[in-house]
Amino acid sequence: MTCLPDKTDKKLGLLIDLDICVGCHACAVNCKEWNTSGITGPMEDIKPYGDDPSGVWYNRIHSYEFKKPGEVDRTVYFPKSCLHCEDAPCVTVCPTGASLKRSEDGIVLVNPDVCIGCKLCSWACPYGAREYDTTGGVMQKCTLCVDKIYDETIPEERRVPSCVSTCPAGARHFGDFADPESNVSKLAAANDARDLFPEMETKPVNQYLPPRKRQIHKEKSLNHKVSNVKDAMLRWAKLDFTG
Amino acid sequence: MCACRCGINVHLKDGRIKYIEGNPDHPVNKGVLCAKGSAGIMQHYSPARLTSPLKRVGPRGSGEFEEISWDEAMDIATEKLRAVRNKDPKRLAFFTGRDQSQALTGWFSAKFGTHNYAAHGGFCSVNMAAAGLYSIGGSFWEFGEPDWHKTKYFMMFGVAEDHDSNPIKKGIGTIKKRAGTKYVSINPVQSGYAAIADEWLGIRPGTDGLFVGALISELIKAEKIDFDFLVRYTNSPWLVIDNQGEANNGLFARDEEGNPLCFDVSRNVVTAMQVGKSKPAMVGEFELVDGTKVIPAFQHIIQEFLSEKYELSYVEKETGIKTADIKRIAAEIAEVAFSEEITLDVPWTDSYGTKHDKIIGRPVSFHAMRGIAAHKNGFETCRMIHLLQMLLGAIDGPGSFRYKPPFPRPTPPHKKNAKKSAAPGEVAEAEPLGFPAGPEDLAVDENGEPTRLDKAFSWEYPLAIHGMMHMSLHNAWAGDPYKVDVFMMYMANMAWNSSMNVENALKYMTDKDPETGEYKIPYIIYSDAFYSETVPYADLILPDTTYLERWDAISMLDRPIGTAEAAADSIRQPVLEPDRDVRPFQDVVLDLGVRLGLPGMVDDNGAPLYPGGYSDYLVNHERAPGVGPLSGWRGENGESHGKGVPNKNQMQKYIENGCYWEYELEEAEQYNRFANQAYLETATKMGWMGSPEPIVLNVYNEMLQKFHLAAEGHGEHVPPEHARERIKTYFNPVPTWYPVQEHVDINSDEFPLSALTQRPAHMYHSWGSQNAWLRQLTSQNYLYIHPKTAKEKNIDDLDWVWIESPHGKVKVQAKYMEGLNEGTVWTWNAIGKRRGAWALDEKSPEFQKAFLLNHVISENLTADDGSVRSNSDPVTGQGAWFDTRVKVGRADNQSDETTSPLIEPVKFYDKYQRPDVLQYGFKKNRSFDEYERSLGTTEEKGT
Amino acid sequence: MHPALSVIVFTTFSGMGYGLFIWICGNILIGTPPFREEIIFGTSMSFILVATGLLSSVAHLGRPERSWRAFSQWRTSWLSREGIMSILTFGPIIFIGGETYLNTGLDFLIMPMALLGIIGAVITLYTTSMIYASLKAIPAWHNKWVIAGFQVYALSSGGVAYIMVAGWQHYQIVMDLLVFALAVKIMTWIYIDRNRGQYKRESALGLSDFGKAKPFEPAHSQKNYLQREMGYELGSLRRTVMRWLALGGGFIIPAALLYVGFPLAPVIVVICLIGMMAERWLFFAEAEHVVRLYYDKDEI
Ligand SMILES: Nc1nc2c(c(=O)[nH]1)N[C@H]1C(S)=C(S)[C@@H](COP(=O)(O)OP(=O)(O)OC[C@H]3O[C@@H](n4cnc5c(=O)[nH]c(N)nc54)[C@H](O)[C@@H]3O)O[C@H]1N2
Ligand SMILES: Nc1nc2c(c(=O)[nH]1)N[C@H]1C(S)=C(S)[C@@H](COP(=O)(O)OP(=O)(O)OC[C@H]3O[C@@H](n4cnc5c(=O)[nH]c(N)nc54)[C@H](O)[C@@H]3O)O[C@H]1N2
Ligand code: SF4
Ligand code: SF4
Ligand code: SF4
Ligand code: SF4
Ligand code: SF4
Ligand SMILES: [Mo]
Repeated sequence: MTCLPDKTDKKLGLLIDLDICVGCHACAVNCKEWNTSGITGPMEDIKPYGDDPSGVWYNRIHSYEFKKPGEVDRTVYFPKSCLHCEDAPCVTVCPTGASLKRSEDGIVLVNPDVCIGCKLCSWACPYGAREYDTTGGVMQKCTLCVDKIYDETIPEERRVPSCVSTCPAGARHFGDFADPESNVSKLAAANDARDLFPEMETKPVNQYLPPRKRQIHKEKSLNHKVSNVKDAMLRWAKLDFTG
Repeated sequence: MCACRCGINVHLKDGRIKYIEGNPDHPVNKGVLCAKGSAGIMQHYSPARLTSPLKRVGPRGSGEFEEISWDEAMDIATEKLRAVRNKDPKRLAFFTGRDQSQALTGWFSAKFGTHNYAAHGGFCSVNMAAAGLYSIGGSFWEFGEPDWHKTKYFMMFGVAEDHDSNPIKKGIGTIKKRAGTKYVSINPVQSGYAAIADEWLGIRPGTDGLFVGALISELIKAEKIDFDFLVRYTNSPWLVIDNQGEANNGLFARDEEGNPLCFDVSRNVVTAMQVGKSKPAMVGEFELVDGTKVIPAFQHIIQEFLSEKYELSYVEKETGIKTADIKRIAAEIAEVAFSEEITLDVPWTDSYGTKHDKIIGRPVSFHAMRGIAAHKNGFETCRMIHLLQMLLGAIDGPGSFRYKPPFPRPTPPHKKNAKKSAAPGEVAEAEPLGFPAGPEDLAVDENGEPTRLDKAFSWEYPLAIHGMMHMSLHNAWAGDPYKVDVFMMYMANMAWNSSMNVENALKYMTDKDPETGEYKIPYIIYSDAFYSETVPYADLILPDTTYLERWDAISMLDRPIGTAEAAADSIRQPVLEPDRDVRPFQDVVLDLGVRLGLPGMVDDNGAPLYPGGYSDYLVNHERAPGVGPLSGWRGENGESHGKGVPNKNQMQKYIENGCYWEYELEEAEQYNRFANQAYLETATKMGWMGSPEPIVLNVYNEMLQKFHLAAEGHGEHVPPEHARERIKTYFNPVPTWYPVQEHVDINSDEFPLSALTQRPAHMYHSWGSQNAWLRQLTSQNYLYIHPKTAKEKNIDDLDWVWIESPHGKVKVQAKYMEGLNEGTVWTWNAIGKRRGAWALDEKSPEFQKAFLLNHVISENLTADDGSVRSNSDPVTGQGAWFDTRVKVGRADNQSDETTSPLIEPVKFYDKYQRPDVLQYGFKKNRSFDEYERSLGTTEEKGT
Repeated sequence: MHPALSVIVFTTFSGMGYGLFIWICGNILIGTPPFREEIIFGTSMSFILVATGLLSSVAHLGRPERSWRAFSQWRTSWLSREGIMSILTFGPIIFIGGETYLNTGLDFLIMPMALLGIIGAVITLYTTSMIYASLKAIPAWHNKWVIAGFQVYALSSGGVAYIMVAGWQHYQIVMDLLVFALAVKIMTWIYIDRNRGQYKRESALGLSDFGKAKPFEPAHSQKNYLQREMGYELGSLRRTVMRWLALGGGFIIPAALLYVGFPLAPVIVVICLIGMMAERWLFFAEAEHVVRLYYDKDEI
């Protein structure tokens, strides 16, 4: 049903720390490997060994160089998957009900059994989080690993999205943004978390922590006590250096 | 799967791989997995997999093969090898690449009788290993790590990925999350790890030694050094003989028992250095009883670092790092090291009997890798970083660099390299690789000329402790110093990305002797698992399995996986049966050993000692009594660790424990291990050390001075004339910096830019491109160039340009990057591929647009005086990839959008269907609705 | 946006079809109904145009066999509403055409049906326009000009078709409408050209306070679905050519031919349809999706 729930019990989502992401693509590939056998898989690859390889990815890692006058340029890696928006335009435009936002946890999903592949949702999403499956003729997207985070056969601490459990740098966090006491809410509150593209008024659930201020202190230098070998020999000649 | 050796759990369904995840308990990765590891499915099902042994039928390089049986393949190989062994074992050259079986392959070579064996380390990072092992008995690379949990100031030099790639990412992530910890990256390129540093210094390549030297100079001038540490644990106070021109000049003065001497300021006498008792002078000129002049080693240090070489204005000019920044960073380091020291209330006793009630740490830590190593001054630069750590007292304390067991080891470790190969049919005197402790250990003949094919351990490259694989093809082709009959390679793509100057490498393999019409390298045997660029050049291919189809081990004898707190080793078990006619290469090696009747591989009756293959060997082989490839659960019932008789259930124990063994040290054994009595005793008990002797850290390296003296003509072992000047110049007891040849030679103005490569985090050298997922991330590489540098040459963003060195040129697409040293261009390593290889379509971007920088890198360099030398570090023989200098110019033809030169394609490999659309996965057997509704109930069961 | 033929045909054909139908119904309502044959021909033509448009839009789907599902989400989805309205509007079209042809004696219903037909067609056109105008992520579409345009172009192109169907008596109004539509189109272009650049990459990244951002390494070295679908890069030459083709074919030439009384009305219809297709091609090609901010565009 493409009516958005008035309110979801939980707001599950990701908090991505741009201060820590090194752009290694581990999350993107692990996502692919889990989800290609997952609830909305397979995720196709077109011309996998050919001249123009491409395919379905629920998560892609971009990178940018930022230039600010008077500062050293900065390279920022930027992973991006579905933000599970509260006011998800991709859901409301869907004519079939294939796009849905779950009322229990806010996860936005596409039902591949119902989708007609009109692509309108991918036009509606400002973030480029929807991926078209040419073989199945249906839309796909990040599932927040809904088939992993609720799988009780997986040990509880590993019951997090694949991209989170695999991230070597620990740049990705998963949790309930509706709960102010959750890890993600606390981290977000403490670190100036950002919405992507606030003008689009989608109220993204996923949040990004911006790169932190660089720790370059003011001018500082050591007081020299000696300046050449001769000085040093004079000064240290007969000192007892043992503790 | 790769050098970082992470633990993985492979989930199967219906006999196919469903999901590979990081093993949450594994000491290396603790559940995380990199992009390559996560793409293991596509690696395993690659259409480029070899399917059976192959015998070449077309000319070399054509890729025309006949499929043969294993019986035939093994017969051919045995016959070839037997002939060599019976004639002259050294005429077998055996070079292996990025494998984890060096304990096996090195041992095999010794039993075969050849010492022409090495793995990739010589062109990889031997500078790191050698500089560390000869200075502090441990090193960066994978032998030590910063104390990620306690460090407060972390400085990383020249690392894009490193072998410890997941641990480093985890570590940096940990540091970044801890308030008050600063992370500084020194790297010409601001990408990857450098992108998230608190401070990035875009240094000019090859000049790090000057920068570190300047820091040392600042710290010494301000007396911000840990004199107490230097006195106790280093040879700083030892007296060095000052006797210019004589045979003992620069050696340590010792008493009759061989104890080093110091000048005790409390008694004003020269006396044996007794740690904890002596009050030694650190500077001054003294006399021995016989009148010989002596000065403390430390004084040599200050003579170097207070010299004008490290004058800040000069350093700024050479490195591009501002004087104010150098001063500030020195001050920051000093502040953290000396005002924010960490004390742990853990009593411990040092090797000299002093009891300490606390462990003190100076929480400044350093890490460095190939950005330092792959230069011709890399050995010295790396030694200098270790010197800086010693001066700060920041070695193996809380918050500093820390060893991973079995390190530290004696400086150098006691294992000796083979000096020559064995007589026909005999076993070699020692394993090929080891650690020379002086000129007497070199692998040279009576004329001082190299006995090894690659000239490692010769007067040209005395401390080439990992061999010099990058010279092996050239030398075998040139017959310099001699020819070989069989050239055997394993897991090394020498016809492409692991050779400098690819065209030449191909020539070496295809050139024929005009007289005999035979190939100059007569027979090439190669084991690869995939149709790489090198496969078409071999005469016999022994196809390997993928990593998921065989046993492997990461042994303490090889490259340990432990952490600062624990020793560890691990195994990999086969999870899938090969569905093609391939065999694990380790089994093949053991089988060859059996067929050749090599001692250690067969019993007295010629029956195999390890009939079960590699896993049998792993369990039952003993290197020394009680010491085998695996350390865990030894002893008849698995009761002992480290040492113990073989346990037939050992593998089972490993598998039950998640395929690894981990031995955590007591907290009191975790620090200052070079002189921590409890640790040294444990290490001895575990078999990591021969005896619990303390390891004195070398600020001053007497062994290097011995080489220097030899070059001056002193002693029994002196270099031949042609090598003398070089040894005199490059063997110095105190770390120093010199500019590399390309920066100062006659070409340096014409080729003004440094050209570098970096590893993409998601690609493993050449293997990534066959992987359907990874190649979607990167199938084309660009030459990154600073916009300012580009604009001077009228190069626009995305223009096609020629990048040209004195050795060759390649047409590539340029791309602007701001976070880059202006005098540097760079690209990703090993994205460009040879047409026809890796089962990729002819039109693939890897062939048409991507490029390999190796085309412009040369393995030989001509000096201004006309002499030709390997492009390698003069001490260790490390391949100097990153000294390459180039010029870049806009290409006239912008429209064809193709790289150049396009080397002729090799024959296409079509053993597997390559789908136009790949839909890997397991389809659900019920509707989405049902599935979704069942989530979170016990209905849905995972695998 | 990638200009897909199926969607271009969908909107131009159905636009002309509904426009034509509005003309027919309007004339019925104001008491100047066309002749019987003209009504039959006109409604048939309008039916065929609308049906071709809808079929073409179905061809655009990945799973056309499931297209029936598209009627279910009328509460939120303009596409769903459009589907429903277009089917409902077939009612009056079929009724008026069928009743005129069969003469079953229900002709008293023709007037109310004509009224319903106009309402239905206008609403259908509105829903069609809202499919596009509701998308905030595509600023060139997310505005009132698009809504107005769909109605006006339908009426002008439908008017041209009406002349072909029912003769020249309204040619003056049609000409005026064409000129008016031309003005709307030009105003739309001025509007979207002026409004370019309101969204910045830095804001898309949530990092507006970090200075100017420029892409470094792309996520993937070859293009992906998003770039192929929404990354259409319109060259300036092509833009100019297509703009003239749209203006000329869609408005100026038909108006001029009407003015000079060009005798072959079907030719004018075809020219107008080609012009409208060019207009619609540009409608897509010129519309930049904000997702490009993550890729190649600094601002949109
Ligand atoms: N993903 C991935 N991981 C790998 C590998 C792989 O292929 N892919 N290969 C493995 C192997 S074999 C190795 S040897 C390791 C190597 O791992 P690294 O040591 O990280 O090697 P490189 O990727 O060569 O990166 C060298 C870095 O040094 C910088 N650099 C170059 N010259 C200088 C200099 O003069 N000064 C400074 N300060 N920096 C400099 C370069 O910009 C680059 O960032 O990685 C291992 N891990
Ligand atoms: N320009 C430039 N060149 C470089 C470097 C650089 O920084 N810049 N780095 C250098 C360094 S440090 C290194 S270590 C080398 C690495 O270069 P190589 O040692 O050549 O390493 P790879 O390309 O990773 O792979 C070698 C071969 O192993 C094969 N292989 C993969 N899996 C298996 C298996 O399971 N069994 C067998 N038998 N074979 C397998 C692959 O198919 C491939 O052909 O490159 C060097 N070359
Ligand atoms: S795995 Fe983590 S560090 Fe790597 S790209 Fe993803 S978020 Fe960034
Ligand atoms: S990110 Fe895009 S696809 Fe995901 S919920 Fe928001 S609008 Fe929908
Ligand atoms: S493509 Fe599928 S999910 Fe997207 S709007 Fe159309 S029917 Fe809904
Ligand atoms: S939450 Fe799951 S589906 Fe979404 S990006 Fe992460 S791994 Fe992929
Ligand atoms: S590829 Fe290397 S770094 Fe990556 S998971 Fe495997 S072993 Fe670890
Ligand atoms: Mo390497």
